[in-house]
Amino acid sequence: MSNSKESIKAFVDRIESGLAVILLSDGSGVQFDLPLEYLPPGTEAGDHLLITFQLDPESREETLRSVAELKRRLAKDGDPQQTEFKL
Amino acid sequence: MKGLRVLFAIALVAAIIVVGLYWLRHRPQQIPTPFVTQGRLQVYALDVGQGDSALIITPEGKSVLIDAGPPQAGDEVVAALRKKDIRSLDLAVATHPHADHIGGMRPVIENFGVKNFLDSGQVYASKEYERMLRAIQEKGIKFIEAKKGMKFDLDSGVKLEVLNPPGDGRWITEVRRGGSVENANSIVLRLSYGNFSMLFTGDAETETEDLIMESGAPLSAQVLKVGHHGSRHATSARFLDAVAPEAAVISCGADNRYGHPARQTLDRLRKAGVRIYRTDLNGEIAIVADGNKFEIHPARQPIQVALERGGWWLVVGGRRLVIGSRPFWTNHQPLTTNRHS
Repeated sequence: MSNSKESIKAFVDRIESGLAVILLSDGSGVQFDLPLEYLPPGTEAGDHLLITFQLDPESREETLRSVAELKRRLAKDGDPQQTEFKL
Repeated sequence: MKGLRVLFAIALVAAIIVVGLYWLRHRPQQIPTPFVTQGRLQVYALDVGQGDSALIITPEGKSVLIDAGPPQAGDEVVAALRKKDIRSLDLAVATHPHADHIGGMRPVIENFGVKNFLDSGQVYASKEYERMLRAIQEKGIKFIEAKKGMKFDLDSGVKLEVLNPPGDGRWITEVRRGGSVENANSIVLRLSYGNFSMLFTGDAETETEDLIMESGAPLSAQVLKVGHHGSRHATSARFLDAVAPEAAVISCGADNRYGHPARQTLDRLRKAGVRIYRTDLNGEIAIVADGNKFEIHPARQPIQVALERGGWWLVVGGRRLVIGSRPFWTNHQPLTTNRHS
């Protein structure tokens, strides 16, 4: 939790078809849905939540590396000078 | 005589109110608007909610998909393609790696044989993008990184030209505060067929528009697929001057939270005398061109006047009211003539 801001207060306004409708408690009107399985077991309508976000720079770097590698492999069969294509 | 005129005015106002109320109540209805597609170039702005997806079908049946909407629209894109008898795609294009454009691409790749894939070439840390690239690799699809000047020759003289990104390692790196480099480096395409042309701008904003204008690339187009869902930072007045479109198509979701399309963009389009079609209001929008003329057929129209065998009809929110000779309870489909309101 070292690099996270303080927790954001929110509450489960209601549950619709297995989706928890979550509203921030600050009255900002920010609202989002989350499948119940992403919430602590037993979460029900009216429950209050503390949300924290943490940046994950390692995951970002890893994805960048993976995307670059995929692109390198995908592009290797093509001719980089080719500009006319007949489909 | 004067009394008669007042009476007529009252009746007219009452009629307008009745029609207005009727429209408000029934406007989400789908109107069947059959039109001739055989031997013509067809472009469909698919209704994918807040996102972007357009399908091109050439007169000889070649097909190109430009973007595939957000992840939740993937199944709808697949269904829309099936409905149009698409079995394989000659080219799929990801204008840039944001999820509202590539989210639906994986189901498309899995359900249709995609022969070629055109990508903006950007390296972006999106898990959705990574999964899409992996699907392309698994299917062994020919992968092309876009650069300005590339030309795709479809058939019957239908051509697709790349106007952005610059390519060869050159990228747009300076964007407005709050802007997006990924948007700025969107693939911009110009489709041409005889005297008809259409511009697809992805999520490009003003900096990209200016760069393309400076490059002297051919920009004129009868139809403009408006950049970045109608954001106020795209579709500048000078860009509209250069493109000089007759009609504009905006892909955006109803009641989206991003304020798309922006009032300022709509004002600029109106000021330039451009007819506006929006997927949030019109649903799927079909553009059909024969190389000379083009027609636009939106799936839904708030108010439409249709000419049918032997009579004029006023179509209000999908319900037909009689103006001409045929009673409204007969069940004929309108012919191909459509008057757009």
